[in-house]
Amino acid sequence: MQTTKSTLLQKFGHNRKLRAQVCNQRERLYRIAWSWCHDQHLADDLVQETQAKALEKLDSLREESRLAVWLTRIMANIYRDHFRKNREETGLEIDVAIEDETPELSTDRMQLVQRTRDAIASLSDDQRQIISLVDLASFSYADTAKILDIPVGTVMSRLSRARNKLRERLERPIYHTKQKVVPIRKPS
Amino acid sequence: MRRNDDLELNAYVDGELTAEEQAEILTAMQRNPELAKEACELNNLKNQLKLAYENPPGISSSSATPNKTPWYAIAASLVMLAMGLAGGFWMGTPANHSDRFVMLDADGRGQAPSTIDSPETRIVFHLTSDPEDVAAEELLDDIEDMLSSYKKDGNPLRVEIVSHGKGLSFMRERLSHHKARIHELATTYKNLTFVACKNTIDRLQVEQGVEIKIVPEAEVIDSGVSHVVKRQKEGWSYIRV
Amino acid sequence: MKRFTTLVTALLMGFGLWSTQAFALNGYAKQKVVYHVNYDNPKKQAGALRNIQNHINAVGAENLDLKVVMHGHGLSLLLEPEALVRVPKFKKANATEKMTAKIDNLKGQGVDFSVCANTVRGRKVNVDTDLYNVEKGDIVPSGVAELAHLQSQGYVYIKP
Repeated sequence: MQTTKSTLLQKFGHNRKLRAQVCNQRERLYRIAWSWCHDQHLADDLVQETQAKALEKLDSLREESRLAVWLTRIMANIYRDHFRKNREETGLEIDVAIEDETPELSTDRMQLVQRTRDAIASLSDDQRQIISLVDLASFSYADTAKILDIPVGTVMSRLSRARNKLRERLERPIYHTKQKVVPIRKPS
Repeated sequence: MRRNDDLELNAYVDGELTAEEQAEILTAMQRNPELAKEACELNNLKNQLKLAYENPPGISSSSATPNKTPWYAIAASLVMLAMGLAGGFWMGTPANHSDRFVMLDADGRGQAPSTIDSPETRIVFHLTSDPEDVAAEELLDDIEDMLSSYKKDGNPLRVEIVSHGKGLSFMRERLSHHKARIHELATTYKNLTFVACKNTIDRLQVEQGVEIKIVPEAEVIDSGVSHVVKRQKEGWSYIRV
Repeated sequence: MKRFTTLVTALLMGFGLWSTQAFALNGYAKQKVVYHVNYDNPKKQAGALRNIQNHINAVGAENLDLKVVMHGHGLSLLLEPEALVRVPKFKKANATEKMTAKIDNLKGQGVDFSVCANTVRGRKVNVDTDLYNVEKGDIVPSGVAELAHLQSQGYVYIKP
C-alpha cells in the first residue's frame, strides 16, 4: 500500500501529539503509583518505566480517548511483573509517615489524612489497587477491570471488601487523653 | 447486609447503576433509613480517601524537563530553582548572610543554605531515621573523630544531634543501644549537645500508652524541626541522617 | 514571548538576581551543591542519581559544581556485588552494570563522587578490589566532616 507524503506527515504529527500527552500524564500516573506503594522512589521509577514503555508501544494505542486507561494498564502490568516482586525482596520500604517528616501534625485534617493512609497501607495490594483506581482516579468499574485485567464482578467484590475493611480500621476505638490523638499501629 | 445488596449499594454510590436501578435504590432507601445511612457512610469514605491522597509526597519535586536552551528558559529555571519550586536552592552572592533563608521541602527534607564565613564550625545532625538503619555507632565514631581532632588543634567546634521521629529511639532510656556512648561523649565534650523533640515524645506516648524517658544527657525542646530550621537560619551546617 | 520575558525580568529583579554573577551562565559563580548519600536502598540511590541528572538538565553541566559524598551504608553505591562477601558490615552492594553506567554518565558531566575514609577503614573495604573506580583523590578523611566543610564553602546541602 502506498502511503502518501501527507499521510506520513499526518502520522508524524499525530505521534508527536500523543507523545506530548503521554508526558503530560506524569503527575496523574504518579499519584496513582504512589497510592499503590506509598513510596516516592518506587513510584517515580514506576512512572518512568511506564512512560518509556508507552512511548515504545505508541502504535498499539487504538483510540486517543482511551489514553489514560491504556497508560494505567501498562503501569499496572509493570507493577505486577516487576515491582511487587522486588518489594518482597527488599521488604516494605514505605515512605515515612508524614508526621515524622514535617512539623508536628497540629490539625485534625492532617491526622485524618495520616490515619486514612495507614488504613489503606494495611490493605492487601489487590484491594489497595482497586480502591485507588475507583476512588482516587475515578475510573469506572469497566475501565478498572480492563486496567487490572480482571472481570468486572471481581472489581465489585474486591471493592466492597476493601471498603468494609477500611471502615473497620478507621472506626477502631481510640485512646482519649488530654491531647488530640493519633491512634495507630505501633511504630515500625 | 446481604452480599448482593452490599455490592449494589457500592455500585450506586459509584454511579455505576442505570437510571432504573438508581430509582429502585432510592425507593428502598426511603423505606429503610439504615440503607440511606450506609450509602452516606460509603460516600464519606470516598471523600476521605480522596482527601488522603490529594497531596502525596513527591508531587512538588517533579523532575525538571530537559530544555533546549533559549536564554529565557535557563533564566526561568534558575529563578524557579531560586524560588524553591524544584527543590529549594538558595542563590545569591556569598556576602548575603542577612537574607539567608532556609528550605525544607514538602516532606521536610533538609536543603540548607551555605554557612560561609563563620569563625566557629557549627554542625547540626538531624537524626530522623531509626538509628540502626543509619549505622549510628559508626556515625558517632565519625563525630567523635571530629570532636577530638578539633579539640587537639584548638579549633572552635559546636555539634548538636537532634533526634526526631524515628530517630528518637536513639535517645530513649529504654530503647537506645548507645546510652553508654552518649554518656561518654557528653561528659568528654562540652561542645556536643544532644537534643530530643518533645512533639515526637508526646505523640509516641499517646500511641504506645507508656511514659517515655529520655536519657539524662539530652535536652528536650518543643519541636525538632523548628529547632533545626532555627540552626540553619543561624548558619549551621546541616547533615541529615 | 514578550509577556514571558517581562515576567521573568520582574521575578529576577524582585529577587535581586539581576546580575550575571548570580546566573552562572558564563561559567563563573557556578551553582555548588553537595548530595549526601548514607543509605543502601538501591532504588533510593538510583533516584538520587536521577535527581542529579534532572538538575544538570535544568541548569546545564557547565553551570554546576556537583559533588556526591558517600559514607556509612552509602558506600554500597560503589560496592561491587562480588565484593559483598568480603565486607560483612555491608548488607547491599549496588554497583551493578546499570548503576555504574549511570555513575559514569554523571562523572562524564563533571560530578564528583567522594568516599569516606573512616567508613572504608572501619568496614575493612579494599578500595582497589571492592569499590568501582575509586581513586585516591576521591577519598575524603571523613564523610560528615566533608559535608560540613563543603557547606562552609558555599555548597548547598541536599539529602535526596
